[in-house]
Amino acid sequence: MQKGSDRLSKWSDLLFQKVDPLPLSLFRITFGILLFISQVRFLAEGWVESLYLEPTYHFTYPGFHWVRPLPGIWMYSLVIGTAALAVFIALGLFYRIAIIGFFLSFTYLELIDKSWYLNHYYFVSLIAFLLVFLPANQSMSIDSLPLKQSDSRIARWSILCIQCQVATVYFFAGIAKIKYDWLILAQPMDIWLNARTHIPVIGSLFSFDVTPYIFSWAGMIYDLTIPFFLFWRRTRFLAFFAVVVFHVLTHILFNIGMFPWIMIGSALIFFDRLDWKKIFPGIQDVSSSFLLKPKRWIQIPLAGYFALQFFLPLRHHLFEGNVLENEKGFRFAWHVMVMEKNGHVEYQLTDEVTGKTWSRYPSEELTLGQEKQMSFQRDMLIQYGKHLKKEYYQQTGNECSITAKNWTALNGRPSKITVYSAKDFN
Amino acid sequence: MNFSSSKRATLFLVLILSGFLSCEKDETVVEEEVQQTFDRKLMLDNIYDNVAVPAYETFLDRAKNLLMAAEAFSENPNAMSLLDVQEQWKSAKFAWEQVEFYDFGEINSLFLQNKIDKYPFNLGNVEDNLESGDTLDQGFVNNSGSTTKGLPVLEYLLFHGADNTAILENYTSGPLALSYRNYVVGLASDLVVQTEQLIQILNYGREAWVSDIGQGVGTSLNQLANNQVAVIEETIIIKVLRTLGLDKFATADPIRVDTPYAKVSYEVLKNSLISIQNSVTEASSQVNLYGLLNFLQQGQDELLAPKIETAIEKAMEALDNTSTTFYDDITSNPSELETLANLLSDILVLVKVDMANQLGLTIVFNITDGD
Repeated sequence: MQKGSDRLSKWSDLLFQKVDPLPLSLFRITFGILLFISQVRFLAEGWVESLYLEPTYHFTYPGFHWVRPLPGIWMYSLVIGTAALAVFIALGLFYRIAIIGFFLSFTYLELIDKSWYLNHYYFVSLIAFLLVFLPANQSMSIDSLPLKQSDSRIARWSILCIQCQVATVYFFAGIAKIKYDWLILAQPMDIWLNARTHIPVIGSLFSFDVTPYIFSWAGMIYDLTIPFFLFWRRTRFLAFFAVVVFHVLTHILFNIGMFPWIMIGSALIFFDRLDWKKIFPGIQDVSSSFLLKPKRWIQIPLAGYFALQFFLPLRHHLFEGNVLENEKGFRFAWHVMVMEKNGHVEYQLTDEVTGKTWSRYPSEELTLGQEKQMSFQRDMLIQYGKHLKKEYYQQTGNECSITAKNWTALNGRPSKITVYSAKDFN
Repeated sequence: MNFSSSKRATLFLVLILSGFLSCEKDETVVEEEVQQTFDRKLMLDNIYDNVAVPAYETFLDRAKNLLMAAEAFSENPNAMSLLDVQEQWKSAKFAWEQVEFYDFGEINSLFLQNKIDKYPFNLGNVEDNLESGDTLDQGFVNNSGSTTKGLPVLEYLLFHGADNTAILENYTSGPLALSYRNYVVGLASDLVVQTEQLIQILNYGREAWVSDIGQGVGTSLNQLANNQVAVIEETIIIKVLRTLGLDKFATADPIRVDTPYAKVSYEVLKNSLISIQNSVTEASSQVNLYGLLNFLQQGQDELLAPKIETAIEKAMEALDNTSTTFYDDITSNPSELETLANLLSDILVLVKVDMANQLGLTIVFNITDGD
């Protein structure tokens, strides 16, 4: 018992060891630059218009129904402002204000509409949240210039919590791939690779039966193990090489925007001064020591945060059925690229006073992107049905009942129909 | 055995490569039965050259015939010339239904198809034009908005009236006879001009379209699938359900039908279906969308391509079995139209859900920006 307690205390001391801030500083710079590019790209692609301003209806998150897009020019200003804050983060200038502002604005942008939920946007919000509390401007920043400080070292936990966050993404993305479709049917990899046989040089390999299996299994093993290989100094460089190869490949194959670059950039958090010295031998050493007055209470919120990070990806096990079909607990769970799914919805509305019945197709109101997403995500389908009911009541003063037919095709299977009854929309 | 690292790496690579080679789809025994690759570029070439371009050219020919008939009718308006120009209009409209799909590149981004067939047209503005005293020639039409020109306005001018005698009066003894005659020629002439421009743009964009064999947003295959979905969905929602009064506030209203004056909506629908069929079966080769689906589903029991074919055939059959016009069925036989809507819905699900899933098509940005 005493032994266990000692070990725990030793681990606790390790968290508060004063270490070189280099990994966190480099991570901050990389994060700032990539997120600046991401926001500029967002503007350049015209997504402010098509995602925030064009839709007349937004799929809000539970508890965040009050989050609405701002009027035109303000929405543009906000995205430009978010890009500017990312620059401030990279420079380490007014860091604390910049990271708080960035976290709030970026998260606000993501909370406006469920239909463009992306795992990597969620990841960015989490990282920004953690950075709010971390001394990432302690070195290699404009903020740290006037200090001429004798000791810029930071507590180990500041670096470790970012490392753990990155590791969580990979590990649970790997867990999410331990599924029949992924491992036994090699789906959706089979669909995706077959659709890419035209890619020069490697494309010809994709028509072999075994290739989707190699990709599926390798992807799962990579996700499950890469964080450990990154943590372990002896395998770190090789693991980083694997990270680069893996994400460049996903970029070539799936054209998934900023995600590959953000993950490659994030892996830099695992490299400490000793590692960088192997590349740049001129770098000076920085010694480690223990903090004199460690703020041990920090362990409690940290433990709570990571307990939540472990719970969220696994919470779908609390629900009955296949998470790929019902998507209960699918979001915020690192289900990264685990399915190819398409759907179609038809609503049937009946005026409870006049008895008149009519059909309603979501494409009559929603944008193509919203319609595509809601057509196979149960919660959005129900949310939109409730919106139709409410809208009809507001327009006519009459109640209406609503039913829906929903066809979905998952990972190459023939489409299945699900019928939603009136009580699903109550 | 004491292998060096490089020898071990070489052996590993050899094993991997031999694994690939040995797993080549069931080797030589079934080599003839199993297709290894599918030439997507050739498929897009075929769709472009053998379906899209000929469809536009056919429409151009029909538009020219319509212009000739309109000129003849304008010079000598009589029962015969009216019938001729009406037939030429129908013929052009049916051809247009087979063009609608190929809304590629700039044709799409500049909404150029609207200049030919923007549904519904603006009746008030058309009547204002007739009464304005302006010279209603091609120049006037060219400068007009999409809702006051194209096939729907021509339909109104050529078909609205109790019967052909009444229609003819508009062109002979009516107070606006000259405006009617000029407007018909101006509109038909503009159709030819606009179509020639569309074909020019189509030819100009050919290489970009047929070379865009990727899967992302806006790629050619995606555009084609999205257009198929949009045309079918629009047909169901606007041309059938809304007409039947099966939408929010409407009651059954025949005037909402696609061709309320010419009353050829069934034929128009049929041509839309032929268009879907052509876009997937491109007859000159097996390198078409059906071929691609069959290639992707090799070895599977339930093939999608025949299902789509059957669903289209069923809808065609239902259209063939109609005895009156769509316009009349709205009030006299709405259940038949609801059945038709269901049959169209079956096609929609197969294309929008099953086909898109098999092809791994990306329709929206956020799939391409991560997951």
